[in-house]
Amino acid sequence: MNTFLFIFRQVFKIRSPNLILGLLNVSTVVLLIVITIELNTLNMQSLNYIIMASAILLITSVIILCMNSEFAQRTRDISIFRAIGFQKLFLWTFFIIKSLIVGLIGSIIGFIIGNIVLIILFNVGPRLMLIIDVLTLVTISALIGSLSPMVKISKLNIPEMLNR
Amino acid sequence: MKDSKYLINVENLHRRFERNGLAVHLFNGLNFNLNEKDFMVIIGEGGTGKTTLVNIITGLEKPSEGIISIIGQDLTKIGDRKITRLRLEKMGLVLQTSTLISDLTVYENIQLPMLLKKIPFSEQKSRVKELLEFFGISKKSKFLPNEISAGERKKTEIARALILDPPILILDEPVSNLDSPTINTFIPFLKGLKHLRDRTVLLTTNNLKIAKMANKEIFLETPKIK
Repeated sequence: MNTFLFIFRQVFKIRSPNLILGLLNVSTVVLLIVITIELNTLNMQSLNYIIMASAILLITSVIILCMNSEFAQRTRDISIFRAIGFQKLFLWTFFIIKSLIVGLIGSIIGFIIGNIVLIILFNVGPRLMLIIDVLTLVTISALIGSLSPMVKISKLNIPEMLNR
Repeated sequence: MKDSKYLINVENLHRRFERNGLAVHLFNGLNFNLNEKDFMVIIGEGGTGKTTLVNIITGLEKPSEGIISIIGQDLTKIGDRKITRLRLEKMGLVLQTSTLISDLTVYENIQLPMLLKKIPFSEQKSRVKELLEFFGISKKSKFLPNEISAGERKKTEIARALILDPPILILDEPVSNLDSPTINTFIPFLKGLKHLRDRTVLLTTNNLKIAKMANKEIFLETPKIK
C-alpha cells in the first residue's frame, strides 16, 4: 500500500447514507439545470441569480450533511490516525476529495439527465456550455461543504473518542 | 523551558477537571524525568490517572498546570502541528484500547506511520517484514484485526509503534485487555523484547510481573475529590 492507494481507499469507503445524500445532490443539480435553462429561454435572466444562490445553498447543505455523516461514522478511525501522528491537513484531504467527488459526479449525472429532460419535455437542444457554470457552482459548494468536518477534526477530543 | 538533558521531563503536573459535579484533582504536582534507555513503570489503582498521564505526555490531552518536556520541547508551549510530529517521529504509542484500523490488514496497520515519511517502498516492505517475523505474526500479515487474537492485536500495535524506530516507547496498560492465558505468554514475550532495552520506555500497569522489568517506578496517588 502506498500513500496514494491509502488515500484512495479512505476516500472510497462506501457508506450507504452518504450515497443517498449524494443522490439528493444529483437531483438538486438536475432541477437547477432544467429550471435555469428554461428561464433562460423565457428571457427571465434576473431570476437566474436567485436560483443560482438557492442552488448553492441547497447543494452546500446536502454536502455538509453528507460529510458530517461520513465524519460521524469515521470518528474512531480519524482519532486513531491523529494518535499515530497524522497531521490534520492530511485527514482534511479525505473530506475535501470526497465532497468534490460527490459534487462533481452528482453534477455530471444531473447535467446529462437535465439535458435529456430539456430535449424531451421542452424540445430545446442540449446546452453543453452550461457544464462550466454547473461545475464551478458545485466546486464552490463542495469546498464550503467540506469545511464542517475540517472544523470537527480540529476540535477532536482524541482520548474521549478512542474510549468510546 | 528547554531542557535537553532528559528525553521526558515532567514538572509540577496538575490535572483538574469536573466529573458528576465533583472537582477531581490528579497528580498533585507530580515530578519525574527519564533519560536514555530508562524504563519507568507507572503503577496506580483504577482512576488514579495512569491513562490521563499517558495522554498528557503524548500531547493528546493538556495539563491544567505544569511542564511536559519531550526531547527538549515543552508540549505546553508548542503548537499541535509540532506535537503531532513529535508523536509520529519520537514516540511509539500503544494505548490501552485497540487502535488498529479495522479494514486495514495487520501488514498495512504496521505500515501506517511510514506512509507519512518519505521512506522507499522496498525499505518499508523490509522493515514491516522484519517486525512481523520478530513478533511471530508473519503468517497473519494479511489478516484483518478482527481475525486475529487479542495478543496478536497487541503485538501488531507494538510493532506499529516501533516501525519508525522512535527513541521513546509508551505503553498504556499493555496487558489489561488480555485474558489470563494470553497474559501468561505475553509477559515473557514483553520481557524478551530487545526493543524495550535500547530505548526509553514508559509503561503503565497494575501487573507486578511487568513492573519488575523497570528501573524506575512511580506510584500514582488517589486523586483528590471535592
